[in-house]
Amino acid sequence: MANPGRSFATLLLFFVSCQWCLLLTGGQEDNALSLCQLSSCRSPLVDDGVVYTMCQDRHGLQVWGRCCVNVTDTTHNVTIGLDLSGCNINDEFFKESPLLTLTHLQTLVLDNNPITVLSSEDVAGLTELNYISVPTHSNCSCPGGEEAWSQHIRTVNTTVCVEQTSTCTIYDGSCPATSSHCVEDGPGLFLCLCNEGYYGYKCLRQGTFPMSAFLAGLGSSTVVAAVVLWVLQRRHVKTA
Amino acid sequence: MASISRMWRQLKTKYSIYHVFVFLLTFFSYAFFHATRKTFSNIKTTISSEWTPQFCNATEPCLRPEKIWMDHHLFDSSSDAEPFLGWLDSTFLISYAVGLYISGILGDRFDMRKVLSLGMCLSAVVVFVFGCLTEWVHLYSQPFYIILFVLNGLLQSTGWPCVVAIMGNWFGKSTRGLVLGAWSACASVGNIIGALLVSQVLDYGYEYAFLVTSAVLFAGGIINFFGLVPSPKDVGLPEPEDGDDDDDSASSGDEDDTGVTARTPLVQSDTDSPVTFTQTRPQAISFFQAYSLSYACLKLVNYSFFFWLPFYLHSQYGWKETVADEISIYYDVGGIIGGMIGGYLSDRMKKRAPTVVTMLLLALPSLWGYSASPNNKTINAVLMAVAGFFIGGPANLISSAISADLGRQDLIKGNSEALSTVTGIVDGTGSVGASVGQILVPLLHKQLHLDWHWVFYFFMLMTLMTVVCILPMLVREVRSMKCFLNYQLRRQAAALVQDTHRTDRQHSLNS
Repeated sequence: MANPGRSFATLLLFFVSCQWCLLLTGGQEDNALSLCQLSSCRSPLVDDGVVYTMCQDRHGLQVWGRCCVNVTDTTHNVTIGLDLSGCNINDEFFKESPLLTLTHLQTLVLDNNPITVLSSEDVAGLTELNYISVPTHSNCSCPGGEEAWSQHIRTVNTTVCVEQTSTCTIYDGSCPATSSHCVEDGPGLFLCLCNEGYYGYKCLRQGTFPMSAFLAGLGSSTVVAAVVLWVLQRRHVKTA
Repeated sequence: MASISRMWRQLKTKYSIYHVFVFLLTFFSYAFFHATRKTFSNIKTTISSEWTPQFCNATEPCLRPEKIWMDHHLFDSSSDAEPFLGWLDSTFLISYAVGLYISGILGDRFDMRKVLSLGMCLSAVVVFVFGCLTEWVHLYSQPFYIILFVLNGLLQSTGWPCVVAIMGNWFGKSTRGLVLGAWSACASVGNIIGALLVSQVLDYGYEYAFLVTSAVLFAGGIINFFGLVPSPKDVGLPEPEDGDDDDDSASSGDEDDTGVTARTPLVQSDTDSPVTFTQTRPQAISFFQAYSLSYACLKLVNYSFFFWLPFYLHSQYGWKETVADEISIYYDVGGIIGGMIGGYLSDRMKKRAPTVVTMLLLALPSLWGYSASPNNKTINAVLMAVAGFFIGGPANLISSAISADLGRQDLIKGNSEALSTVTGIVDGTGSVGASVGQILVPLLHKQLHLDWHWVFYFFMLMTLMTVVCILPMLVREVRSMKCFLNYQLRRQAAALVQDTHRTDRQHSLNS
């Protein structure tokens, strides 16, 4: 049965939501692109850096400003390398977790920056990160600490950490076993997500309460009991 | 077979279909009240984990994502939440005790059916708001919880005075001990119903445990409103025989020297019907006070067992909490059997105090025996049932059967508004005792670091106090028994004299 008004509304809704999607992904790309074109970076990407070399070696990768982007993915461009060396990046930069959107980042270079502390929360969610280079500093080391990486190469100016270790193996049994399971969440980090069927705060809940069945059952039996008792009992009460 | 059918006929003449429904309705009304209370004690672990973030420290990492594990901060940890849960218990007991004094009076002034129905429905609403609504809207606030518990205590207190009064209206003194002894299993049955309902729905979330028990309580209130007949008068049936067996009527002759008699109303009402304690007879008041006080002492012991038994078993014998919970049921079982047997015996004797005093005196060695129980679950359960028999049994008798006796006695004396008031005062005083116990037991055990044995010595002392407080009643009953004997003797003598007179006259006539 055709209903022109309704199909029009559906179309409109579809159109609007598509626009909204575009806006959202566009925003994400903007953020990624703005990271690639940071104004604080005085020079373009140096051609002897790790990111540059990686981008040259593999097919389908392209250098965009300070980024190495996989352009073969048709839906959106994926940043897999980021070199921010000498971009005057300090601790303030990480306040708003700018790296959160670069979920497929594999290589991150932060050399020659006035960073004092780099915590694991700053690179949270970067599960594919397998190479990070940070300035060698008394406080600044690879995010997540020693046990988060399988290899540390420490030189005078930079510390390079390679290959994340499995955080879930290190903190085995930290997630409440019956209701949740461990998921990797970047160097030194893990998430406890609810198991299949569990949900809610602390994954304490399971299944859905049969609300309508309960209310219908209780309601009807209450009415029946009240009527039966009224007929048998209170009907005979003489009101004074 | 013949004897059974005769018994059946006797039962049919004594009890109508009304009696059956009144028994069931009042039984389940109070059971549902208790089920909602049990809900709270059984979800304590879950609710305290709902109120707190997941524990973490230097060695144990804080769990992420924060929204799942760290979002709720009513307390920092479960051990911080524990004292607050204890506070909620005490708040409930105190406001329940206060409420009992009030709602007893309300029950006598207004239609008990309406007071009970309204109490059930409103209490259900409060429980629903506490357990369910606050979770749905994520409102976690300590002051709000305290306010709700005060309200809940006040509203739940409408239950006991009304149901006991209604039972007292329908079941006469001669069978009251047995019937009310069996009937007072309602609290334990309510606990079991509550525990079962909670375990069935806890997986859906603790709020559904509250939803289910409060909805059932609400439904019970509605059914009561449409179906409960609070007194045989209402349907034109005769009221049960009460109190004044021939022995009591005899005591009128010797009223002067006893001072305290069954004739004295415990609670007097003025002409304009508000019920007040008028101190026309100081002895009568003090007799009633002593009786209330005896229940306060006994309820202290009884409730301490309820609240602390699983914990005691867990800490003394190292048994798992689920095992301890299961074993502690035997205390209830002993209490129900004790109430029924004690009630039956007191019905046969037509006197309650001697039975109660005997049971309480036997409670002393049973308490000592229980405190010396070996680390064996079977022996412990048996000893616990014995202790329950001698403590829970008399407690059930005092709070239901004897309260109803006293209230009905006043009713006979023309004070039409006493039954639920008397019950309310007795149970209210008892609840004050129970809440004192809730403070004293942890004080003795935790603060003063005394051995558990001292807690049991304290229980024995309190049981002894119960006996002391109930002595006036024993004296009164024994006296009236003596009076009854005197009266019988005198009557026989008079009859003899009359007989001789008559025979004399006949003789003289004949001659």
